[in-house]
Amino acid sequence: LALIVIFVAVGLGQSAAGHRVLSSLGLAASPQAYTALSFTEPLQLGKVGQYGPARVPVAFTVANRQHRTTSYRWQIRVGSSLRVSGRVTIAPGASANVEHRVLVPCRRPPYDRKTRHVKRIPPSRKQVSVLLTGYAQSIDFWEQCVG
Amino acid sequence: VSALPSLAGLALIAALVPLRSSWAAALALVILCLVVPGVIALRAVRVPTDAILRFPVYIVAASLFVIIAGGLLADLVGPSVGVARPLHGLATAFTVLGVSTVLWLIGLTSPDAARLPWSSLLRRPSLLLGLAVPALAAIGALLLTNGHGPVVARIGACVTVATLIGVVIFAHRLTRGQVALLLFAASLAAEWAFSIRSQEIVGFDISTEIHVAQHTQAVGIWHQLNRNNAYSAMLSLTVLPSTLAALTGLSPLIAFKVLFPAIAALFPLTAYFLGDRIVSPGFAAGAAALIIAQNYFFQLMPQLARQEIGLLFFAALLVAMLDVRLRRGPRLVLIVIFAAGLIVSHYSSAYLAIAAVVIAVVLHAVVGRFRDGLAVISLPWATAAVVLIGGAALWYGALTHSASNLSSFASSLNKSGLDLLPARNGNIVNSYLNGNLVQGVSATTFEQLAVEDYRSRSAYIQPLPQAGEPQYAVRDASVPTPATRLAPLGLLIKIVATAVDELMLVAGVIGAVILGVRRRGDLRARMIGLLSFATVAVLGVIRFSGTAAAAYNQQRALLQSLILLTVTAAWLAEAAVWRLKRAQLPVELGLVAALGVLFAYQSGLSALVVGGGTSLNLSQSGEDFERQYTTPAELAGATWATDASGRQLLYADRYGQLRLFASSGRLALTDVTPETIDRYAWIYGTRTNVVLGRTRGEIGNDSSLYAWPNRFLNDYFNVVYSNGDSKVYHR
Repeated sequence: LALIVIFVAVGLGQSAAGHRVLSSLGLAASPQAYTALSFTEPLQLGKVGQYGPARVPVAFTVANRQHRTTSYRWQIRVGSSLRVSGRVTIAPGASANVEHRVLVPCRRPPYDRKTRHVKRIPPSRKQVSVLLTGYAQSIDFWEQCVG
Repeated sequence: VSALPSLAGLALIAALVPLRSSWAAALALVILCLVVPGVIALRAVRVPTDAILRFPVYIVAASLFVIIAGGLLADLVGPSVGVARPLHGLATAFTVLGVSTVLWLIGLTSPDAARLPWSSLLRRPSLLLGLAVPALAAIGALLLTNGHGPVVARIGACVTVATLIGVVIFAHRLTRGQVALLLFAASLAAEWAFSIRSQEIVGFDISTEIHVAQHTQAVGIWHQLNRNNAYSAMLSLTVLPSTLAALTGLSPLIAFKVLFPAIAALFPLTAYFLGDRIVSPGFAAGAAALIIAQNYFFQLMPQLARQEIGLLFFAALLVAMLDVRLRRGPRLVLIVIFAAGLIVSHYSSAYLAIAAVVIAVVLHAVVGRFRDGLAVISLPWATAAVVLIGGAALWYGALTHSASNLSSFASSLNKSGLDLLPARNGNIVNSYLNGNLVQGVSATTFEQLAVEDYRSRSAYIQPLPQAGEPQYAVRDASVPTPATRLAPLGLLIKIVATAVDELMLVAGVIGAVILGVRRRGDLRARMIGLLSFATVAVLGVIRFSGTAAAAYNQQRALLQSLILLTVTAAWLAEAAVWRLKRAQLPVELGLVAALGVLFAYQSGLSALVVGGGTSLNLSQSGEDFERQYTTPAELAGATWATDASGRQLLYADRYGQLRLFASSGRLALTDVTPETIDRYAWIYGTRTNVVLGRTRGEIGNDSSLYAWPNRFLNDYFNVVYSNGDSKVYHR
């Protein structure tokens, strides 16, 4: 009899009602909910130095692991300046790719008319960030400005 | 007629297999599969019922052997009969049922004495009550994991300690079955309190083991994958989980978190069954309790799936070697079966067993010359030695080419010798206690050690020139812990726990010597003494030699030896207590209290009273939590890092690499310091690294806890992936 009671209880635990009871008791939980933000081509980031202001492609992927359809607001910033923002709605378990070109204001080395050469300036770099607002998540890369 | 219940059991398994996605059917199948094939196999071998009732561990060990053998048969034969992926579907389940049926037919001619009295065993449902203790521990672990606080987990830990103390005190009033069941309940509760934490695998080695098990099941065939890899060569991690999944529906993850700890929980019971023959029930229960109370049993074992299975076979092998009442034929067959099971389940346990059994055979021959009733050559022990050595050479050498750990040990031995107590410092006591343990070093020292290590081993690493700038110097870190409220009491508890541990070893060694060489005494007691002393000899080498300890973790070797050492310690303790007469009761109560203190200290329960950090079973923070607790988001990050980095250098800290192991089996460089990170590397950071800002590293016997090099990584690397619990960096 004891064995039968145990087996019946275990069997009921698997039913929808049983799962609700287990969840309400704190004994069952959905898998962890999270959102993954990544660059689509991480190997290509900042590999080519910019010789003056340039529109740089920024391609990223948002993966929704929140177990519900979610609308994400995203921003692309260069340094602290907002360049572009948008919204993407993603079904649970799905991913979305977003791609934009943003202006990276690298300084063009000045041309010296006397010597007819381009003046050398110190190399610099600009940080390009992608943020998911409301999720405190961001990714970023350094774009090199050639001196 | 007496053979029909076993056949009915097989029929029930066959009927339930198609329903195994149902939890109730899966539970029934787990119980049936751990019992029925074993009972049938033992009858086929003509092991009498009284031997099985003396040592019920035979049943589960024999069942596992049949399941592994059936799975292996399917794996080897499947492709030639058109089943390309035998480990992926039901082929292994049918093969196990087929093998069991053949064994049942062989057993039909066995005498009635070899048939289990099913009805009398099933008529005692009161035995099930004890299982409420592990159920409570499991509920506590689930609630804590799901964010509902540690209250039930703490109550569960208290009940577990109380159960263990209670069974030792009242063992003389309980039946043997009741004592065994309560010991099993406490043992399983202590293990589940750790293994059921987190939605993922918890622990070090098991992170690689789960990948091996899941990969084997997904690929569906084992014998084409196993070469040159010590983990993949273990059937306990490959064929067994896949076959269990086919038979019971349990995924490798659930099997490792729930079922394997239940199998390991049988290990301490063997000390009780062995001790029960030479000491009173209370001291025999105390022997098992001494094993259960060790954190390297209840916390470490659930992190070592292959050793959980290996130790059960080792326990069964010892029992068969010591079962002098069993006829020679069945005894030799059992020795061969269990030795083979040990070899294919865990290499390190097998190596220790080989050394111990060989020494024991020699001791047997020496003592046999001087003591009546003991033959010079014990055929069963010699058989065990031959099968273990021959089987290991065959399996690890010719068949799987997986003896790299042995050749690595031999190479270290040639290079460094035994390297006695490498970290010895101060007086002799301190050198003995801590001379071969990992010690903490500062972040700066650790980085220097790492740089030297990389210069000698990894000259291809090219750190950034800016890595040496002062602003990127590594800094020490610490884990916030609750304040200690009762420091003197905490110190006293620690001293008592350490003293109990060390006295247990001393008593075990003295007991083993006396039992082995004394003039009088029964044969079994003498054999226990000799085998116990043999394990002590091996243990001594591992305890003092840095080279041996690097090859086989001291605590794991000690645990394997405790199955005999606790018995000889209990025998000596009882012999001493009997001489005290008037003081007998207070001393016995003192021993039980010391056992309780040991268990409370090891399980982290005492920290709830005296303050300080608690372990993973009782809290959602702290050192243990930061090291071991894995989240699904961390595993997703690890998978992404592996895929994105391809064959390029990938770094993670010592515990971050576990997430890589679990998700993909990927190896990583584990010294995440600015001066050892290659300029083109990928770096994977866990929640502990990127959220809490702490990093852990270990080189040889030196470990360090330091701040995650956030500033350096942010200044010179791109953050290419983030999911809240983990990040990936690259440049």
